[in-house]
Amino acid sequence: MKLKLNPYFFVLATCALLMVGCENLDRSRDTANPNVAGKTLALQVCATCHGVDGNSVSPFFPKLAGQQPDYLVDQIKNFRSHQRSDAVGVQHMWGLAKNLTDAQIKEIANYYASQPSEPNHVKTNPVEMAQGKAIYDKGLLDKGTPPCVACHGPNGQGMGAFPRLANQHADYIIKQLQVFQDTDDRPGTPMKQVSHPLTSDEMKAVAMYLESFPIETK
Amino acid sequence: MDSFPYVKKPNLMYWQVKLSHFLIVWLAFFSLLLVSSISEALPLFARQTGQNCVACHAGGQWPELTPYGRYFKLTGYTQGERQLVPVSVMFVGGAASTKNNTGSNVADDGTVSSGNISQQNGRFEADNASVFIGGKILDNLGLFSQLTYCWACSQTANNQADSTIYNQGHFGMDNFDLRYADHYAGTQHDLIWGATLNNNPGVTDVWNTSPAWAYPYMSPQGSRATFAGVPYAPFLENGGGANTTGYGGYLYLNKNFYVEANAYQSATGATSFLAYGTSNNNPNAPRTYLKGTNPYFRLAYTTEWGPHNLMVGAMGMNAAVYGYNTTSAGMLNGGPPDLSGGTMNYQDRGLDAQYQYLLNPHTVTAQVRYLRENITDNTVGGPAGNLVNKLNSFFAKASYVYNSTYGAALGYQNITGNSDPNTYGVATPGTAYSAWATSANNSPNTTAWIPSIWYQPIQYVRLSLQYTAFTKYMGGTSCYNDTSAGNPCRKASDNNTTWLYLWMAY
Repeated sequence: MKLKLNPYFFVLATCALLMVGCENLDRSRDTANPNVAGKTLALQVCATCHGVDGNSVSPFFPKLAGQQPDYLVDQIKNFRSHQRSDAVGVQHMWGLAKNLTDAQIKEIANYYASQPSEPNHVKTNPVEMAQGKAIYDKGLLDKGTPPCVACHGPNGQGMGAFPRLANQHADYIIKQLQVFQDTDDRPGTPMKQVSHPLTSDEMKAVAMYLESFPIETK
Repeated sequence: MDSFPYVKKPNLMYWQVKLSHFLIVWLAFFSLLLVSSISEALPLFARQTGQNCVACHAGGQWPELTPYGRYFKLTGYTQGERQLVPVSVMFVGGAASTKNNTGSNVADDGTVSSGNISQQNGRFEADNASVFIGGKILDNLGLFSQLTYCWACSQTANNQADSTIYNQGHFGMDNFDLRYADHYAGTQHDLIWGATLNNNPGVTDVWNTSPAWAYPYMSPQGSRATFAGVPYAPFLENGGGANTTGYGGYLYLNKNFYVEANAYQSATGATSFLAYGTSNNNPNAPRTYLKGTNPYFRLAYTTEWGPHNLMVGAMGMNAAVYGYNTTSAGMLNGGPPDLSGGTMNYQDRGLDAQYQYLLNPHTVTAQVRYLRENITDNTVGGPAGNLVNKLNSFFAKASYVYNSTYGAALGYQNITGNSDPNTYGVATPGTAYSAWATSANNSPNTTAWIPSIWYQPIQYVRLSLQYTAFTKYMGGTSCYNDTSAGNPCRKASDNNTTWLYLWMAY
């Protein structure tokens, strides 16, 4: 069997070889190249779902704008090490975080932390808002759930490893509370105990309150 | 039943050699380029991004894309980590059964005989298998290519050339899309632009209203596919431009406005690999020869709010296609192009829209498309009876997927057009024809409903049950077929076809 290779492919292959090494570091989407700046990855990769300014449109993806940088660093590292294993995180984040360097993670976190969090424009139910505010400010002491404000701050802005919750998508908050309550997929936080007594109505109330968090009144 | 008694069997040695050339070159090409490590055992792009199929495919119902999947394609398949072995494989197989598989054939002398339309009716069999080669090549350069092997494609059911049947017992170039893309991202403006070399109008599209990627995503092969959908459809829907050479560019501004323009030519010379598997000697896989440069355009407006996203768009193409020197080649279909015989000219214009709701555990998607086509027969002694034929095609589909595991969809196809005895009826008295494929009133008008349900136990395995129900076929309902030879009536519902199949990708 005589093999005769098409010369056009050699031309193509040669051209391609000449281009090897060509990197577009300013606008690369290569999550395995340590030379790509974290901010570039934030704009080229993360922004696709989380928004270029961290204010994601779809509640499928959490808002990252104004998030605590320490919290973001922890989460991305937990995805990278597979310590955080909630299903959606596994499906979407393990691969993206796999090859990120510590420096890139820090840059991504700092980029999103520096973006202003935009308020949501959602219809609210006054009864639900009042219930959510009560849970956030005072907890459910009879059930042993402490007030959220203790760690997440009076403005819902978070603190260090405790995430910002103000303006976060309600659907995302509810699903994460369910992850904490039903699974051990997010270890290393007190949220398992905190969320344990919450009913789904209470989760919804506090999530709705946080989604339309009235920062200006605080 | 052998529909092509005059055709020589393909020279398998020849094809083996050609395939070897092709694979060696591509594998060499990539192995020279790629310097990385093998990732998790998931299909090609999932390995590249490290993500699950659901990240890019709505509710896991590949090939339907999420906004993120569309972004991945628009940015040239470059996101993620370049793979050392940029290969995936896919397999489709199952059992298709047509309600009434007994059809009438009319011989040259008018003698009527009956026989099975599909020789494999109701039997489980392999349909096709694909090898994908692609992914990130450079920061701005990526590829999606799919070579497909078809087991049963020689079993064509009627004498119509079917351009979707491009192969029998060997590999052919199914899809090819090589892209250069760049993305300027910022808080004020966002621009993605790119250039593409591809082999089929619409293969570049990122919405699943484009016929190249629209429901039903898979159909049985060979004669078992005879009644899998409408028998006649516009150029953009029937794969008429497949295995040609397309090149062009696109812009996507502020995630709102999309514009794409491509030009298509015959895949000859340096780009003949885009038509790999087609041949002047293969009646089931004749190469498509286009006259000159044939424009294709695509416009779209997109928006999203909450978990919803919406696209409204338009598409169109003008194509001039040469016929074949069939007689000189001693074949019923195909042959070398008849370059002096004029062309069939297709002018397609369409509108489409897509809606998606994506929020775990629910995925709801819907697509509609309306295409109008003018077919001008500029061929010498051409096949059509009219100088100009018109086809109107309406397509709609809605689907729901729960937890990326259980899915159901309902599709609707409706074709209307003017009557043409040569195209849709008994073309020439005294010539053999398959009576189930001819219209009594010379009409292409067909309506099909295509429901399906599926179960996806793991992300790369799907078990589907798909049904195609005809409420009208070739202009009729209770007796649509030509019965002038004394053959029995055939009802549109006789063509209803059930397909149970397994679809796997790895």
